[in-house]
Amino acid sequence: MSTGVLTLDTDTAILEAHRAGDTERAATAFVRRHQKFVYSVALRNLHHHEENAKDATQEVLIRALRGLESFKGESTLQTWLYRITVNVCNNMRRKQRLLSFFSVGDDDHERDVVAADSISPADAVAQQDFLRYLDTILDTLPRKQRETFCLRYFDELSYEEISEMVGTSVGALKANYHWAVKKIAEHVRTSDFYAAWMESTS
Amino acid sequence: MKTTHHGHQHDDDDEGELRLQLGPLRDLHHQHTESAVVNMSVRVHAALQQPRRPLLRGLTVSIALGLATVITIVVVLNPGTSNPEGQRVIVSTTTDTSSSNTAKQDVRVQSTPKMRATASAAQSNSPAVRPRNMTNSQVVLLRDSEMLRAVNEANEDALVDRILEQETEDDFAILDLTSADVDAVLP
Repeated sequence: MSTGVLTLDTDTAILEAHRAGDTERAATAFVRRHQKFVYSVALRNLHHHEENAKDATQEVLIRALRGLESFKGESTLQTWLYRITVNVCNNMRRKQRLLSFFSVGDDDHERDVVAADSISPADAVAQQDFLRYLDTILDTLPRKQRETFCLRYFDELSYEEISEMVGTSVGALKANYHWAVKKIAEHVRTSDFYAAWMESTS
Repeated sequence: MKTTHHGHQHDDDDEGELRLQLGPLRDLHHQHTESAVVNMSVRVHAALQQPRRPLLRGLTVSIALGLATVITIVVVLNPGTSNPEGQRVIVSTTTDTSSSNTAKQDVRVQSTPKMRATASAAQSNSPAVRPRNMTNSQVVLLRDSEMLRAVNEANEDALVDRILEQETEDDFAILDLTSADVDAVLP
């Protein structure tokens, strides 16, 4: 047995362990390896609602583990998970729209998206709500630019992997990423909130 | 070169440029996601222990709801079920200006197939079916099959009694009966 299988630090090792019947250990390694990525994608697709994103992450990982046996390896595990996550999030949003149409459930599901400049720097710094500020910046970007930027910058995927996930050419992804970085940097440079936050954390 | 969390490599220049432009955004993002999924492994394992929901449960509930809806609609809207007599009366009041502004009620009776069949039989020319001393329009307005049947039975008895009393063929002419009518009521 190879070291990789023993430590389960690669997708191949996890899949091998799972197929060999070591499902418990494979599941644990699988969840630890991919949970952050799934949560990150879910958070973006669910209007940054953290509790919903956690529920979606749990649902995605369970579905993936139950379907791991049938995973054919035609794409990477991460691409497969990305597609499951987007589907689960779409279903959740559809369900919430339906429930809100019939006024069932909590009305506070959707987190308020406040314009970045409308947040008082003092208040926001006091609340340590920098991530909320970041979300509002990302919300100003077109969807493709935002998704490309997040997958590349936060999830640290290669252009080739992103291309496989979202079905866009590498050239187009590079252009989207370039424009996204430019806009975000511009926003950050001119933001009083960002300056105050940097000052408070330095 | 720098190796990222997923094993990809970025040029140091690119990294430096991004860090200069975007500050500690990435580190913050990683801190946040790290803390958010801290118990995810426990949650997933606990959920995996739960028995799976039956796949057809949702479908079964949907079908049951659909059937209940259909039954409700049939029971509520079917006049034969909701009203055994099958009568639905629409009353509208109109003002007749030509007759000294007196309010006049226009009563229309909407009949069912059962009622129409009964009325049709009552409107036929057979005196054995049609009650004596009643015009066709009166029979139609009666509309009530139970009452109609009671009246017919009473008239049949009276008719037989009278035929037996007269005992002559001429008397049949007086009664305006055909021989078929007589055959119908005589044993």
